[in-house]
Amino acid sequence: MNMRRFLIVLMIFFRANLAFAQETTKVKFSRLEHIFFIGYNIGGLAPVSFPENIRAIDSYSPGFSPAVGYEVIFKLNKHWGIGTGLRMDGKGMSVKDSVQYFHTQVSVDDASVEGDFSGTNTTNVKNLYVSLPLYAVYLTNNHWKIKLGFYAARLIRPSFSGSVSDGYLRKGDSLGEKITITSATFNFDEKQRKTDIGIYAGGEKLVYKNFSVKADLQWGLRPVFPDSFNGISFNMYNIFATLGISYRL
Amino acid sequence: MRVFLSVFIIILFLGSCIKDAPKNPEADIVSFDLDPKELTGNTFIDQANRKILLFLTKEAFDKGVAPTITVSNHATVSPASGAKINFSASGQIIYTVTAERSENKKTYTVQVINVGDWSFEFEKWGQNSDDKWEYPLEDNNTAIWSSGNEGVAISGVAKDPLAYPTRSTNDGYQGSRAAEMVTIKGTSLSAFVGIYLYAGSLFIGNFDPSSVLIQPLAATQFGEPYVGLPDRFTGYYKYSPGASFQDENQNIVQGKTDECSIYAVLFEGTERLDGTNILTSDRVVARAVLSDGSRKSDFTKFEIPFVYKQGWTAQPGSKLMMTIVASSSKEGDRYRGALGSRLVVDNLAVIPK
Repeated sequence: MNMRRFLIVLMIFFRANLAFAQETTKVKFSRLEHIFFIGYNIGGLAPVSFPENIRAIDSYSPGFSPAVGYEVIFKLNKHWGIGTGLRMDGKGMSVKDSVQYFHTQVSVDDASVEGDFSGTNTTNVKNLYVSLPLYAVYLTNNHWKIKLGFYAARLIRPSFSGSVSDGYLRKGDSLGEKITITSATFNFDEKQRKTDIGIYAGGEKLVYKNFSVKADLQWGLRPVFPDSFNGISFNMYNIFATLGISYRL
Repeated sequence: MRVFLSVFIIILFLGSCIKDAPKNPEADIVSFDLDPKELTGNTFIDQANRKILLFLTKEAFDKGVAPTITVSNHATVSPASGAKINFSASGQIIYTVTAERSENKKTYTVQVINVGDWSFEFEKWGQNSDDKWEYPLEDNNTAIWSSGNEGVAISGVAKDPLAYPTRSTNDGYQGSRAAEMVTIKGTSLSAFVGIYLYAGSLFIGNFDPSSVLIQPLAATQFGEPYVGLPDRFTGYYKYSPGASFQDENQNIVQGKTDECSIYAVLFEGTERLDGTNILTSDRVVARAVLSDGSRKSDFTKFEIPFVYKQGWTAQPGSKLMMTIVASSSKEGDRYRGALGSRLVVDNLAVIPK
């Protein structure tokens, strides 16, 4: 996904509509709506279906995952419009889980070790994405906006690390020799894909003057790690909900 | 809003329930117990090479033994625990363990180890099937020598015999081969756990990988049963220390030259000593230590008498073990040494009284 192209498209769209807006200022019905929002992301890098290797989630916390952005909605008629924008999302989590026979391969430069781990896994993710949603919006008579579309995101600050502890690695596979591990760290920052695309859906309701409360969902459709990466034996996706407030300019 | 949130939460957790536990795929022989009276040395289960190494009295060997075996949870073993095995018949004794996940099977070969005359030419070598490190073999294909190679394998070196610090060489004193030990650089993975250097090492005993990450010194299990009393330790070696000596944090120590280490230790009991206590245990009764660890460009003979603990005399019926240890860096057990230090040993022998 080419981020720069998206930005250009956005700028053209924005400029065109500014010009359009100037022409129609006399009309009471405003075709353009500009919105700023702040919010908080809750979610995780999660498998869509939990593999049987994960035996228990011992703790979970979304960490500090703010969202801030700008959106512009172009109204086609009284009820329908299209929207886009630019937003910055902290997508993070801290999760501690118990795993069994979890296949992993850890490679650093030319050194690589592969095996099945059983024990405790702690993962800390603090990624920062810039994303660009593009969606259709339905406006109800009672000040609701319902949105559905897609988003494209660029990972601008990767952070994916953690540790394995209180367990053992079976070298190679589940029949390999057992190596006790009290604690070992891993860092997969740079192993993550730089881009993500997914489904964007949301709802927003005007509650006071120009203020709205909003909730939306970004569901990544591309695994966070490329196929060539073997450190985690299942695919993980960015699945995050944003709760926040927005202000209509 | 509430509806939306509920829908979101339902979607999120729809596929995200904890599933039933997977069937246990593990198929280990965890323990293989015999009556201590039948043993001259403790049984060692070599998990990496899938062998059960037995050290038996002559009587136990002649009569056969009935081991008590434990295996991974929900796995089964054949022959069963408690079944008698005989060594008189020819052919290998093989135990097959079937995991709860029944497509997973593992076979262990029983080897009765009998160190014959305690002289070693290092002519015959085996190779680990997965990781390709080499280890010396006796004429009857049993392995009584081990090295740190198995630990180095865990740090992810290339699967090539020459990538390991201990291997065979054609540069021998006699015959076609000898044992070569070279101090090598750690890998990017080993650097994570603070290991920047691996010394080549060779010792009589076994390597237990289970503790290698938590207590590396305990992984080297020294000793095999020894009958009689040793008089002297002999052999040939040559040594070239590497250019610059580094400490465990990779700092170059100016003016210090690496030294090799070669010694033999006799100790009481049937339980092996390890890297933590081979130098300090009060079970040690005699030592023969090479004092000159400096450069030797050509093969140099050594002949070192065993020095016995004062006042010690062999008790009738007491069991003894012996180990021989060689390393290309004397302080390699603490990850200190010089990269490129190279020690070659050949024709090692323990001469009895």
